[in-house]
Amino acid sequence: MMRQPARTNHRGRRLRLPSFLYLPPPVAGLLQSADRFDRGVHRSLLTALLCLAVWISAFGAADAQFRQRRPYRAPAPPHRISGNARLPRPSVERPDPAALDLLKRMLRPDVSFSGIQRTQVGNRVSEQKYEGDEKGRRRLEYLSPAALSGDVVLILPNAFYYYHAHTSQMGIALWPIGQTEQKLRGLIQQIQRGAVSIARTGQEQILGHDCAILTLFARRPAVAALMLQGKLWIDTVSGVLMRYERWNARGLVSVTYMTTIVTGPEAGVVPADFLPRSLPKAAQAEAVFPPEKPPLTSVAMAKVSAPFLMEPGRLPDGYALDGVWIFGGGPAHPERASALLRYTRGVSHISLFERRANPGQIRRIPAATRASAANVQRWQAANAQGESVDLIYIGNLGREEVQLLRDTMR
Amino acid sequence: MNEAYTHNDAVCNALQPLLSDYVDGTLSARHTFEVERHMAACSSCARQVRQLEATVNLLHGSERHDTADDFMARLHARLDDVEPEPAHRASLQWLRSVLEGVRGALRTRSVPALGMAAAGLIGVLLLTRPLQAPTVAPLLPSRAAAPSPHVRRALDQQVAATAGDPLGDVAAENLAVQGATETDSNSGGTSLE
Repeated sequence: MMRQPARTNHRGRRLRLPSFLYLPPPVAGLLQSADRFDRGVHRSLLTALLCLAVWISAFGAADAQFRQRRPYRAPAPPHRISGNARLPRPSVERPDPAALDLLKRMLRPDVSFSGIQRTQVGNRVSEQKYEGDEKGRRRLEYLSPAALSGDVVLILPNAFYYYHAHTSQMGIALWPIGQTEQKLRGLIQQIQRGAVSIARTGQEQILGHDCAILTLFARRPAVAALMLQGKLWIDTVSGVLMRYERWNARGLVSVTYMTTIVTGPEAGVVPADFLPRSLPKAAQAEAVFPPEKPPLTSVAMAKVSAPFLMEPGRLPDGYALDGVWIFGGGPAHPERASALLRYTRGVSHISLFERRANPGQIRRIPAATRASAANVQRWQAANAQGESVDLIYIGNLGREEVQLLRDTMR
Repeated sequence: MNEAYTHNDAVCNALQPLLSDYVDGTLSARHTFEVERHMAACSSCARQVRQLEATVNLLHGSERHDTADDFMARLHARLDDVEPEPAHRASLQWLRSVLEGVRGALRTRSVPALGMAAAGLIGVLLLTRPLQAPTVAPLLPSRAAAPSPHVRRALDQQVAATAGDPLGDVAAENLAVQGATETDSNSGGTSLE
């Protein structure tokens, strides 16, 4: 075995490596030069290498740990989809009975469940604790973002409660009895009529649950192709909705999916979780909708109470009036009345909120306006009586569709 | 003039922190004497004191505005909406601090500290990664202006109406209306105010 030559450092000390330890000369030379600890260059080099080794090992351990704990991340959906280019075209003459059955099971799952749900709209994300039971009742408790943290939402068959933690206010909407069932029947009629198509288009496993993928399309009379509206991943065993994507012509609008879930008795869901008294005490409660009042079915009927109302002369493809609600006003203060006109195309909706513009806030109404694709817009328009009307639009229409809406308001 | 108190950078730097308190009249007698003796010889510091006095007088003479009762509540609500600092900007700050450490090490000739700073720099370069942006088409700007009560009510009604639909996604609708803010600038009505 080669014997390492004895060497001396600058102080005359002899350094001899063990004879059984054979090392290549460059490495041996480096180790021997490491004896010279008073030479700052070597000291700093060794210090840097040591720190680097610590960094890399720490990062590797942390990264491995992080990767193990990363929650379920569903594959990113395509950013944009045009018509039905990537999805099988369902039959519009004969709706799939299995798909319809699965849709109904989704609204009333077979078991109770609880878990963490994540929602993404654009670049905004929220996380909420989500509970549901076999009666179709649901509870959301917001965990993030900070603006919504602490908010609690109860969705019941005939009522809606929203506790706003930051303002300590409660919004309440009491629907007429049977309204939810009526809306479901309306959706099924749309499906049977062919205005909305639904089909089972795939199968995927999410968090260990086998899910069927239901895809909803909308017919657009002016365009031959169908337009994707939504995709639902429904657990085939329990009927729980595991993932929900909403689409419009521009692409994906929103995605909501479970990141953790427990079903059955282990979920710990009790009926008391869905009672209004389970909500935090609010400083102020407000009826968001007229209690137990069904919507009016035409704008003409609504104009009896709110003569200032305007409606679009032309609607985007496939949309029809869903209902008109009148708020406030009354014989004592008719000038305070406001209205909501809601239009639907199956999954997608357009809302128009209208009221007379305050005299101090009337803006000069331009001859032409340039609409945008923002999903909440506000503008003023003049009605047939020459009154200035404040309008708020909420929807997911494209720029041209919004322009059509604004240009034809009358 | 006392020649011992001609203009001296070291003295100016030492008395700088006291000038503001001198203007407010909260210095001790000894410090007041020191400052006044220095100002008699140093025109630069004297000019600075005069500017401070003029600024204070200007603020005292300006009109006072009262805020609304809910001003603090709205301010905290808007602060809650402030987005966190992007990760890449935080890592740039970190990089700056590491470089400051390197500069300090070079100045003091502390070679081991230089070695650690070099290791830190390499670690930052290895660890810094840009955030992956979501693939969903952005619809809403990240900052939300506080809407008027009328708009707020409309947004609440929108969420409630969505809850009444069999296929309504209340969480998505709520998130969307929370980010509602200015539309594209057009002459018909820009802000939601």
